[in-house]
Order: sequence, then structure tokens, then C-alpha cells
Amino acid sequence: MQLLSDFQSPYQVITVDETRIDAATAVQFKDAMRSLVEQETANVLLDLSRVDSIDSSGLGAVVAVMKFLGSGRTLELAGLRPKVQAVFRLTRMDHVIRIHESRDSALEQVARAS
Amino acid sequence: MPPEARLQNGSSVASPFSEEAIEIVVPASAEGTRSAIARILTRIEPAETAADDLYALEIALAEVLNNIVEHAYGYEENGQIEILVEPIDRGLAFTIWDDGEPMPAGRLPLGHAADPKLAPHEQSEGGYGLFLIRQLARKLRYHRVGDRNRLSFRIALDADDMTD
Repeated sequence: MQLLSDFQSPYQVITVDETRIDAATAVQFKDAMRSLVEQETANVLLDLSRVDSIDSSGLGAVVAVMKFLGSGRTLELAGLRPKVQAVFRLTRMDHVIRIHESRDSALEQVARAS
Repeated sequence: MPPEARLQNGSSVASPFSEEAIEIVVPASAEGTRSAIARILTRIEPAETAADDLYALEIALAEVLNNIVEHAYGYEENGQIEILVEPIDRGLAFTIWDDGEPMPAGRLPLGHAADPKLAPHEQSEGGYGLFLIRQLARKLRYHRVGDRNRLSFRIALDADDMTD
């Protein structure tokens, strides 16, 4: 599971450099995410623009990431492709997680607000 | 394209599926699941099918097949999944057989969506697969037949919006 992490205030931005987060890769995704975020304190922006598909196991892994971030840090998403967006919409997870059109639009929004 | 237009291709069924019924047998594994979905998608004419419907088909099939791999067979090797795909009016009918364990209590669980009343870190990690299947499939039926599981459902292939 290839994840790229960098810091763009106020976020730790993590880009998933894989085409799918599914039953075969969900556990690796969860473990790799945990090791990237556990030493940090920033809110996390997960850039999914390279991910073509996610299934219910992948969705469960995203929830697991929110669980270990706890109530003090948020997970926001950016760059959902159509099939990924469909899964978030159909499961109503789009009402629970903040979703940005792209990584850039998330960062611009923060810049405008400050 | 109006539905009538599809009738002019000589087929008696207005389906973008290019073949008669097909039967696919794959090993119960992540690779088997991917290969079955790829083989079914190659039989569908993408130009005649709304993109949302293709996503719905892929999402629902992946959830159904992974559910069998994970729960019916419990990742046990040597399991097989048989998939019968039949063109129907504006869609596909699926009948899927496996030789794994029955569904809990002999019935299909309901599954659930995210709960907007709960905080993000309080959401459940599971249960979304069956909810997705129920959202996307029509006429979903499960039967235990002897030592086998039989799941049948239909997927629409020409609606404008899969959430209708």
C-alpha cells in the first residue's frame, strides 16, 4: 500500500497512490495510515484522486482511521472519482465525512477563511 | 436514446448486453471476483449504458462476490462461485451459487448506512456491503438449497440515476 504524506497547513495531507482500496488491501491501508498519523497531531486530508474504486471493506478501513484519530482530529477527503463518490453517497457516508472536490480546493478554502 | 431504439438492433430484449445468457465459474478469491466482474463488463456495450449503471453493476457484484469469499467460504481455498448472467429487459438478471456456509440465521442481513446522528469516529466499521447490495439490486432473493447458497438479483442498465 503506497501512501504519500506531506504537510500543508493545517493538514497532514495523505495521498493514496493506489487504484483501489478493497477487501484485498483494506488491512494494509489501515495499518499504513495508522503508522503515518500516530506520531502527528494535525487534521488529516486524504487525497483519493488516484483511487478508482473502493468497496465496503475499504469504507470500513476509512472508518477505522477515523476511530484511531478519535474525537480530537478530523479526517477529510478530497478528489473522489465517480465510482468512489457513488459508494460514499449510497452509504450516506458523505453526510458524515467532509468531502472536498480536490486537494487544492480544500487548501484554498482554508486560505480564504484565514 | 429512447428505449425503443434499442429494439431496432434485432434483439427481442432491449438490453445492452451483447450475448445470450452466460455462465461463469471462478475460484472464490479476490482474483476470482475481479476476473468475473471484468468478464461480465466486457459483454456490455458501454456506449449504450449510463456510466452510473455500470458503476452500480460493478459495486454490487464486487460486494456480492466478496461477501461469498469472506463469509460463506471464510477465505477457505478451493471454493468456487458459479455466476449465471441473463439479459432481461433493460438490465441483467444474476443467479449466483456457492457451496459455502449459509447466511447467518438462514437469511440475508439488512446491513446499514452511516448514521448521521453519530460522530465520524463513532460510525460502524462494517455492514455497508449488504446495504450497498440492497440499494443497487432489485428482486434480491436468497435461498439455501441443500448444501448450497443461491442468491438472485437484477441490476438495471439504462436508468439515468442509480439512486432512484
